[in-house]
Amino acid sequence: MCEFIYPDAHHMRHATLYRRWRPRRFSEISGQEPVVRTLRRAIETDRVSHAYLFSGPRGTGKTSTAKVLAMGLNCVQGPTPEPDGTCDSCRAIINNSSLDVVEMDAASNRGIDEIRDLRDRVNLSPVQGRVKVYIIDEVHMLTAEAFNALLKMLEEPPEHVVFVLATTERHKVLPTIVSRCQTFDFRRPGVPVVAQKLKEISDAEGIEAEPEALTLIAREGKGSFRDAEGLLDQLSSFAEGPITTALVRELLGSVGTEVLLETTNALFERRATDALRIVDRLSNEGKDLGQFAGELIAHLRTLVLLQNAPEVALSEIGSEERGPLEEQAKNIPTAEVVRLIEALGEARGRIRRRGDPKLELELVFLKLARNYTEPSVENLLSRLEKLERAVESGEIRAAAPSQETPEAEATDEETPEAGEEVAAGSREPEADDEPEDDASGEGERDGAADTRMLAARWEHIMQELKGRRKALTAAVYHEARVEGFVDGVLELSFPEAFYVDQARKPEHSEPLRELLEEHLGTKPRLEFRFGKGTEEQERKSPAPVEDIAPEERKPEGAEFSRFETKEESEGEQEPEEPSPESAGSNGIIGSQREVFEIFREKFGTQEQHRGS
Amino acid sequence: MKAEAGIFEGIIGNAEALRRLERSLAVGEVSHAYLFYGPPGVGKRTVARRFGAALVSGGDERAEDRARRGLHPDLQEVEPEGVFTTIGQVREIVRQAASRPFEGARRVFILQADTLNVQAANALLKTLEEPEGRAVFLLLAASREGVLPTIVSRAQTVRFNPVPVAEVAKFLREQGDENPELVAALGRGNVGLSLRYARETEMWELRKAVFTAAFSFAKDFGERRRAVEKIVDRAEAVGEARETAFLEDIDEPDRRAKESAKRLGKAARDGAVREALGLISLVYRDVAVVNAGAEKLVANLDRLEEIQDYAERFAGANWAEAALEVGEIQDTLAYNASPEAVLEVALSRVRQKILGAYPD
Repeated sequence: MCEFIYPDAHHMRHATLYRRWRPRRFSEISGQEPVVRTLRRAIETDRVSHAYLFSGPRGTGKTSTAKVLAMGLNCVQGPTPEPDGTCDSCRAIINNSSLDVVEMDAASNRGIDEIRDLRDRVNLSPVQGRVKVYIIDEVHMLTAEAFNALLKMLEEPPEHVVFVLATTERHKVLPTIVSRCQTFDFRRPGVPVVAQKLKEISDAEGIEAEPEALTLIAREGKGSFRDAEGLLDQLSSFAEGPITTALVRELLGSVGTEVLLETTNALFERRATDALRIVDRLSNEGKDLGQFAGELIAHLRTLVLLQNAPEVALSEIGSEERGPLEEQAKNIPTAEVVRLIEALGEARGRIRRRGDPKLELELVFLKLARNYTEPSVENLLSRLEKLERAVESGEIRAAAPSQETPEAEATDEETPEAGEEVAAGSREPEADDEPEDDASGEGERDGAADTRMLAARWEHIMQELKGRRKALTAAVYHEARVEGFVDGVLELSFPEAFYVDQARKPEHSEPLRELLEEHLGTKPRLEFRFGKGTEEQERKSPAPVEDIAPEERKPEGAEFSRFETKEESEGEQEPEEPSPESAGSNGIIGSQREVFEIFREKFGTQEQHRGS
Repeated sequence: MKAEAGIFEGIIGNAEALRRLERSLAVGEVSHAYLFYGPPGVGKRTVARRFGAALVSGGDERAEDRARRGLHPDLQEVEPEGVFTTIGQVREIVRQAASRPFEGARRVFILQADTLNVQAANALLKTLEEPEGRAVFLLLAASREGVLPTIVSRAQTVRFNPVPVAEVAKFLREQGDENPELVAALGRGNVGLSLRYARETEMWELRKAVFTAAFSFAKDFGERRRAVEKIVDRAEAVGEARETAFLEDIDEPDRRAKESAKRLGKAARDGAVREALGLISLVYRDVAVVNAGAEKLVANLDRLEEIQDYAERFAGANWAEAALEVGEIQDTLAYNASPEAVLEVALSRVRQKILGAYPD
């Protein structure tokens, strides 16, 4: 084993690049010009406020700025916007040993006792300088009681005190606190700003680095000086020669632009095998595939930027990548790039949750490469005709198809993304705007309107359930068809008896009822039944596989049968003449819009399968 | 690649990360905080223990040996209290980190960073940024995203990747295990999992049941239910085996040992159900891979014929979607849903996905 001593000095040198390069003057604070200008002006004109709130992402200079402010106020030469950095006061602040600058970490001292303690001390005069500066970091972590105690102090601060509250999450700070502070938003510095700072540091430290490599580090820092400087730090200890892009990539486990270009082309051209081979190769090289997914998304974003705001894109990319990137941006339509981004974004979410990046990437590549067939107008027309025939022949009964809605849907349907998303099952068919229209209730009966609203929103409600970590519950009720909602009783039907059993379980039904209560204002009673098993179902297409039991035949058939039973239930529940609007509520097709929805639901997916 | 010598001897994969750690030890440039992140079963904890042992011992071999066996007072592994590492635990750590080591060169704390809740994580921030004493934090996490960004940005991050299947296979071959390629592929980069497939018959039985279930989507409900029950039985067997193995290692187990055994058994059973769903996903992924024309990339090599058969019979179906569907259902296991229900729902959804492609 290696021998090693404990070289403290060395240790310090290494661990503290970002600490040692903390700005000591306003002019060294990069990327926050408006903040700096205002603060300098405040010191010059002796109008320094008693309370500041610095908010912004991590590593953007909040604490550093607070310290420079404290130095300026207490400097022997001051108060001055140009603290000398050499007087006792300045040096003490730099070394964290000043008695007049109290840095408090609200995250570990978040209770009322700590704040009371602070309150007791706040009236004491400064020891050395003119002003006592209290820097309260991560202020959003304070408890409610502590916030209130702090509020009292902010209301009537002693003459000699300046509070600087810093937070990465301003929305968690009580509004009453925010309103008593002068607030500054620290912005994420752009890639060039961070790169410039890295260059200054590496020049001063004698770290040799390619400019391209620094850009790459800055990009990876994602707007945080601390992250970027930390990375530079690691690289400088890791590198045995100058820091090159290759080295940065190695440390980051990054795959490099070429692979990203190659993958994007493979996906665009539906070459599933090639895309899979790339995954396999990267995995054998020991690359971080989760990171690869992230890089691929970033790459695609660059393409979108190049297509729409080239100047933004160009500031972030190195010159040698520019040619191939621009070429790819020219070849692949924005809509397609966006489609890829969406699918990969979902995949990345799954990677985070389940942590098998290889499998998730393979699956999303397989899906992306097979799923997408440009729906031609011809194709759409033939599908529509088929649907119309079905309506005429009474297979689907359309009660008074109205002309109001269709155009929007029609155009929507023609765009590839729309067709695609439906195929991926990720989009609820325009459910959201629907209920509002109905709610205006043109003489509709409440029950009917509610049923219709629920039916239209069902997909949405299921998504909400999933959002509440009730994915299994959502999976169960996802199979349900809203049959009716009358007098607080919600009737659901299921294609298989198994679901009915599951649906009855309180562990599933209760979360659903609670969610419905939020939507409806009352907790509905639930009634479940198994399918509709009508004879009509029988004449539907026989299943393709020999070994399927007849009663188990697949939901495609059930899809139509739903409408048929709707007719029956109409008979029961709605004996009076339904208005054209309310008819839909019973599951009968009420408008052309619904025809389109069914059309999507049913044919949308199928077409995808055939298409490939 | 396997580390041949040095403190990381015998650890497979992630050679680059290990080299970096060794180098920083060798030149004495040790950071005050490291975040080791990556999927389970790739050696993060082992590496942390060995690295930590080297750090506390400061070159004293006997001390290092003691530390590796968990007997050094300056090397502390902080286990979460239940699900979380609490703010109370963190306060204690912060206090200790500020004081001098008992006897070693440094104090080292090994923490599960993704079990820190928000308060606990925030309480650790200042110490991580500017530790007062000679403390080094080795933080472990399954992913970077599972850790508060402000923690991540204060630590040197060391990524642990799944180990390339070829490396695992080579290792298994050297160990004399049967079917090294297959077993390596089943582990999907998780060395621990591959070893279990290689050495636990219960896992093999589980896999058999998984295949029956995975292709039962076209059968009737009764048959699917039986397939599901079989999986659950096999998972139970995995759990029992774990429980027994734990107790065998103890001479006279007292009540506490028995409780631990029970807990481990349950965890192993739950893990097996999770693994079963993962395997079902993998089977469908294989079918999708065959359909895409990349047979060489199939993981379940020994069942290739069966997979090809289904790929051919249901060439129009979206198998990748089916695999994703199973993955989504897998998430629900975390919320104490019964394994039977989860598996049944999964197969039911798959049935609709696959057969849905054949309306007429």
